[in-house]
Amino acid sequence: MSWTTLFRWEWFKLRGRRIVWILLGILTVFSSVMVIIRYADFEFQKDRDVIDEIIFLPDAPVLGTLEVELNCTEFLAGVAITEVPDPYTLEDIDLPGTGRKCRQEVEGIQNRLDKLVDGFTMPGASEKALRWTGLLSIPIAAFLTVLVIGSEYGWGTLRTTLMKGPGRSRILSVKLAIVAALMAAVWVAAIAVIVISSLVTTALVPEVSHGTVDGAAVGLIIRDLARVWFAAIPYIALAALLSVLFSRFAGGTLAATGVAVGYFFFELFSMGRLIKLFDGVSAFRWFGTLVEYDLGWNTAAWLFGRAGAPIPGFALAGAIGTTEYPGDVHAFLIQAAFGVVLGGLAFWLFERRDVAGPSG
Amino acid sequence: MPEPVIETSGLTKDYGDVRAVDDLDLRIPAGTVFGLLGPNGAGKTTIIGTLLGLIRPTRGTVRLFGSDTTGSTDAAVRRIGAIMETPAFYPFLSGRDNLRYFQGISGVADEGEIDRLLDVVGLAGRGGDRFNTYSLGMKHRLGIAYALLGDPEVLLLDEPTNGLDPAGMAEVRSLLRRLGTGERTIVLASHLLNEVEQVCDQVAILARGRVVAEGEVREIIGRRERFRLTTTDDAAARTVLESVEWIDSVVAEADGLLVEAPEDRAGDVSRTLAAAGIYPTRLLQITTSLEQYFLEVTGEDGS
Repeated sequence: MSWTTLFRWEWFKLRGRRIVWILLGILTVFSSVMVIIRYADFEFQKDRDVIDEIIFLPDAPVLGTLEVELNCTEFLAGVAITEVPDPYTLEDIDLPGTGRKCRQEVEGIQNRLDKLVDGFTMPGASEKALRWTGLLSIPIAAFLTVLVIGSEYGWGTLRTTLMKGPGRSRILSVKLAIVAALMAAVWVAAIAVIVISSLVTTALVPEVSHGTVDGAAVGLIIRDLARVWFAAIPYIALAALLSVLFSRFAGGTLAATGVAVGYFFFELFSMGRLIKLFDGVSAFRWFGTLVEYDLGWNTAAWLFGRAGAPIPGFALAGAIGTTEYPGDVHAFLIQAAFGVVLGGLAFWLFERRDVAGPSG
Repeated sequence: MPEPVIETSGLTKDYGDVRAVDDLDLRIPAGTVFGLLGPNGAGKTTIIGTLLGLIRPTRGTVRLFGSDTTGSTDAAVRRIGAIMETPAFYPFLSGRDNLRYFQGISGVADEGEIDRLLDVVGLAGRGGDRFNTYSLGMKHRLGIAYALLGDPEVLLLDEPTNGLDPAGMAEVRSLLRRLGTGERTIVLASHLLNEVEQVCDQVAILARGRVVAEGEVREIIGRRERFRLTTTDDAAARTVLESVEWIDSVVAEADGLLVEAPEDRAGDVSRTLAAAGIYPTRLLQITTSLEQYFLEVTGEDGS
């Protein structure tokens, strides 16, 4: 029996599971939301007044202790300051200094607006939306893998399947391949949704110029798609291993989902704190080196490090600056190694484990 | 004797400290309806699982269709149809789609066969319904249809009537009898003695993972035929009967003699005694059921 036949029949079965469509739908919708959020943020920010503080001269009665708000937009447009609270007088104001500060603020806001525009116009929209959706895709891919493999143990259908003699390793490879293929398909759907969302939102803002999607931009989009797809592969392997590992327990599917998704979030939100914690202790400096070979760190760097964007979680923990991002090649090799080792272990275990009836 | 389609040699399976199958040597000839009879925990499911390659033996070998399949069973398993305990199918697929899937992964595409099998097991009208809406009886019947996919040479059925009501049991047994009339080999693992008695030609009785008795079902029942006998002179009758070659044993009881002899020799018992001038006043045939025999050999009768 050919591998493609098994793949076709695996799809025949999987397409009937509502949860698969829900998960993939979430991912697709999320990619669109990432574009829309940037557009909404732009709309909110663009008409806001830029507010800053008035700078007073050094010999003013109270130096920098009173917060006096100034509308920079008006100030830079030439509207004079007419009143200041007691004990200041208008003569106490450092007009050039206040002007410089206002200009910096306006420039900052403008930069932010530019970034937001870049986030909802093509081709920038695809890169940014894919990056964040790529992060979400990891727990979804892990969950999907557990559903595809773990449910077979839970229902006892793995036994029913193997009793027809398709071969254990072939069945597992087909299951992993279909999850990987589904993830690839969802990225194609996601990019279509991102492009549509971008075209619609860009059309709503006449003052914003449409980005140019030339051959180079298309190449970048394809590269980004391959990048986010690849990021999920080690987690698919991890989830496969956990599904087989927990297969003997009642509720094994739930446990495998919990550990696979939990592992991802643990790394995301805890590793940075640990880096920061151990960085200050000379006896634990080795931890920083260890982290360079950690899956979560390298996955985050693979998705976010290239553009110098803050790595979620690691940034939250304030770890940025204490550890440098691994390079692309390093991150790729570490992810590939995790994928091969975890996947290999999953196959090894799947091939040897006794297959019992339903496990609950 | 036909070549064995299933043969195990020294087959042993340990689960930690528990030995589920203990040095099992089994030969199941082609074309027989073979019963694996044993109480729960006797190792029946483990044996079937091992034959199908779902459970790895701790020791020993399995030969299917003349080839050693201990390492890889896939090719041989495609020639076998099996049910293990309560059939497990995809709850979100219909009965028909479940069969289509399992037929598909077997490398066969024959929609006609699915219709035919649904008809055979009486599910033609419900084939389009989702599996999770099926009653237990319907699940079992779908399991039989699944086992019959591809018209396998061997059927391995582990407790195929487990949980069915009496009508369902009768229906399944009748189906099994029909299936066992051709050249197909059927292995029926069951703890239900009457089921094995009704369906099987040969039986291996299992206890604690070992075969404690094996042979033709009739032979096993026949060899334990007994007569309760009272005569005009029980003591003399005992002496006479003890010297007869085909009588296995004669035991004196409070109200007569208990004679162990083949079931068709009751007349010969009377004739032998009459020739010695002793006349039976009562001759009662006691048919030892497979159940009694089973309880004796498995030690489950408290002895």
